[in-house]
Amino acid sequence: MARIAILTPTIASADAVSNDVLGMRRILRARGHEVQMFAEDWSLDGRQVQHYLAINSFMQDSDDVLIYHHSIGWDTGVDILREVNCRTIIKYHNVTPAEFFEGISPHYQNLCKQGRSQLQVIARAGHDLYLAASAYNMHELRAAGTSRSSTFVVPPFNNADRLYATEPDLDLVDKYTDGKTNLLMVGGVRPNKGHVALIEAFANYFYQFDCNSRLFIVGPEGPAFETYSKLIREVAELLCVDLSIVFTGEVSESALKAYYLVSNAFLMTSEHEGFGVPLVEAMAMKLPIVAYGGAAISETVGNAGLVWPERDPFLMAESVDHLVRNESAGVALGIAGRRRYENMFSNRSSESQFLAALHQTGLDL
Amino acid sequence: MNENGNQALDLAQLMARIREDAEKRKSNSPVDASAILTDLLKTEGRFATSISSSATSLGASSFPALALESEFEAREHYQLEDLLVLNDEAFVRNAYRAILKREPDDSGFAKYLENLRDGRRSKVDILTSLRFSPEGRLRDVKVSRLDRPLLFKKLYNVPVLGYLIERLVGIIRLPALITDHRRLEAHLTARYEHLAAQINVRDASFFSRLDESDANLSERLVKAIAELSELYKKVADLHHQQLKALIREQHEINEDRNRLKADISAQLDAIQDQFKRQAAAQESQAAELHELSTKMDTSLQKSRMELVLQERRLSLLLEEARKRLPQPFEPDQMQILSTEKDHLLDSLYCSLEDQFRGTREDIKEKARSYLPMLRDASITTDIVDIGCGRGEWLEVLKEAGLAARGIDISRVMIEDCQRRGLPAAAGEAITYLRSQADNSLSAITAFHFVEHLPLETLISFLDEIARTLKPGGVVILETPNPENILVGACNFYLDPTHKNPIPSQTMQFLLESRGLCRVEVLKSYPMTSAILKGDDEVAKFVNHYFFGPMDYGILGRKV
Repeated sequence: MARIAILTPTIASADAVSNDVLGMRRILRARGHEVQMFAEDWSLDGRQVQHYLAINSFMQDSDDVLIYHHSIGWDTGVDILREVNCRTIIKYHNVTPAEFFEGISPHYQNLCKQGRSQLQVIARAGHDLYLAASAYNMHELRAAGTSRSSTFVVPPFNNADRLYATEPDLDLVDKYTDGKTNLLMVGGVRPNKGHVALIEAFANYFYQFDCNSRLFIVGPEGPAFETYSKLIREVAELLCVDLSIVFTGEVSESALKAYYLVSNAFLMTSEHEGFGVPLVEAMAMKLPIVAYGGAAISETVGNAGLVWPERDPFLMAESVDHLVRNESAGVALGIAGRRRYENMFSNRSSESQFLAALHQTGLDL
Repeated sequence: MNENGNQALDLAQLMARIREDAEKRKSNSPVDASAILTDLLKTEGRFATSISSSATSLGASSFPALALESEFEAREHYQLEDLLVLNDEAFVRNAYRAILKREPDDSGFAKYLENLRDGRRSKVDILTSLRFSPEGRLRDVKVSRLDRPLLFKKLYNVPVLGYLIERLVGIIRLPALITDHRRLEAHLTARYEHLAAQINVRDASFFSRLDESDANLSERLVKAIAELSELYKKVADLHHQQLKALIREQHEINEDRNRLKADISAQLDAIQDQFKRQAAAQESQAAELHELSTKMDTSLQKSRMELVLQERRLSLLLEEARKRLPQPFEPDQMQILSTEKDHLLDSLYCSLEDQFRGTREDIKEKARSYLPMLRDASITTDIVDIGCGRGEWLEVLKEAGLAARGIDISRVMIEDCQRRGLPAAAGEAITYLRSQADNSLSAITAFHFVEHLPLETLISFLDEIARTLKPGGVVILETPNPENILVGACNFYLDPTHKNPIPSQTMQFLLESRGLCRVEVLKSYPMTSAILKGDDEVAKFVNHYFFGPMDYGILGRKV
């Protein structure tokens, strides 16, 4: 039995990195270890997370383990990693390239720039184990200098199985089962998510195929990206599809389930994803995916969706039309997605990959 | 890609097909939204990374022929589209050239151009008007599909219906209108670009030849370009607004259609529900009818039997009367007449019993409670049931293996008993008992009998019982219990052949006074379901006088 600290700058509900942190804690606790989460900022129940300043009193000897989740610039994290005298594991979720935040949020632009340069530092520090959320992330780690023998892919722990079992919000299901074709995008409204391309693809579908259709843009919209939120609404208005797009903001789990249930296809036009948890949710919910295959997206979707190498709204619209008209293709993709989820991205699968990586680096926990 | 056989999907093949279709569609699309977006985002100078594809030309391939001056050819036959593709002045001028085979006169040209520009008349309207003017008819140029609008125009003038048709046509033509608008927008853009290109080409040579002193001219040129650009922007903006209005209208139409669909399906559901309910109601009515007809059958059969009996009695009477008519009635004839008179009420009484006494099984269930008394006295034979009715008690005794016979004055009842294989005979109670020897019967029972007797007859009845019972024999009588006020005040009189209610104390007294001993009153069948809860005086009182036993039994023994 070991003492394990999990450290990351922010822990919040409905956040991919936080869900991975919580999943790791669950697995390690079940194996009898003493696990404690540390952060600078958190919205979970106060007793579950401690301030990072308490980490020194928690860590006692060199057999203890510190797991650091890296997804954004955080000097404190790098300092702690340098100072602790124990075994260290890095989980790399990728860092959004700073250019996306140019003209939208200088603060984030700066944080991401920092996160990128810290990646170099962390990769060269020779930590005991590097875990990457995807092969795409692993290549970045390796390029930054980690060794092959200490770098492994472990998909993030997620809530897709819980979502699958959740009761949907039936009022929403009723409201949107109205004869329209529904398309869905899930993810925080952030400038790397390609909403302009999404709306453009939707407008293309709307005008070329079915003006009795609707696009749900589900995900929180923070004040930090207000300029971006405004821009994508302008784009929708410019293309005259603003009446057919529903911006839901942050939603409850039962509402999210309802949106997955009423939708005909899941659209992913993000320009940068280190993994893409909503894709896994769509697969678990058997919703066919149509995507632009940038970053880790084609790797995550695999054969469970129509993934286009080029960003062409005509292809996107045509794909949606094919799936909507040819129901059997949509169903077959949904089934393939569900199978892919069960084999590769369920928490059980992540757990065995996690434990195997620990085992191979002699960190048997 | 899929191991599931019947849903196998060749992903690569599907994607190849989609790509092919998308390319086809792209080459037919007049306007590329990407280009508009690129323009917007570039002019705003931001988010270059967010744009999906580099700007593509504004559908120039679709409209290579749209030059500033139309390349118009005179022919004898046109497609409507040949003419509609032109715009503004070029359209009006060429419409004249094509249909009237001449250049437009100034006033006509001005009129149509004005109509066209302020939207009062569509291009099709103008073509129709030209084609079917006297001059146009004379030229008789063929323009395919041009007669259809005229037909609609005529229909529009029909009151009410015309308005509806006009609206309908408007809705059907909406997608075409949108396409028209896009084309126009693209046309204008192309025209503007063409102009700009021409100016640029000229610029190059022009400016090279200009000296500093010609700066004034260049300034004017720049200004002209700026004005043109401004104009273009205004036109583009106008068309965007129009397109927006159209899309909004279409959005509303869609919403209406979806709502209508939902309404219709809800109404269909309601109608189906109603049908189901009606079918269920009809079914239950059919079942009721069936039950009713079964009842009617039974009662019809009974009535027939009673009728036969009545006929027999009548014929008996008539026979007697015929034989003895000239002479006065003899006493035994009088007796027959009087006995038969009593029987006239038999069927009425049977009906009464049917109406108020309860089902056969209920009666039997109640009667079974008296069996232990016979067993206690070790009685197995020589049991007589006076007023046996339809023989429920006789049946209970038979099922218990006890030998009994029944006596009833009603022949209908007796016939019923006999049909059930129960030993019963028609007879009058006292006459019957009088015919029995002293100490010859082990038990005499009479359920709901004594309340039919006048006091004197009741006394005689008890006396005969006392005489005919063996020592150790028992008598069991059951009669309505007037201590229950509902029985005493009402239920007792449901049977109009009842004489008086007899309180249990009176009955006990009578039995004892006629020589029977160890008389016990057995209060049975309380209406348990209606008992008031609680133990207070009111509850006790109400329970006793309203919900107490409806009948009581009385048991007497002969020493």
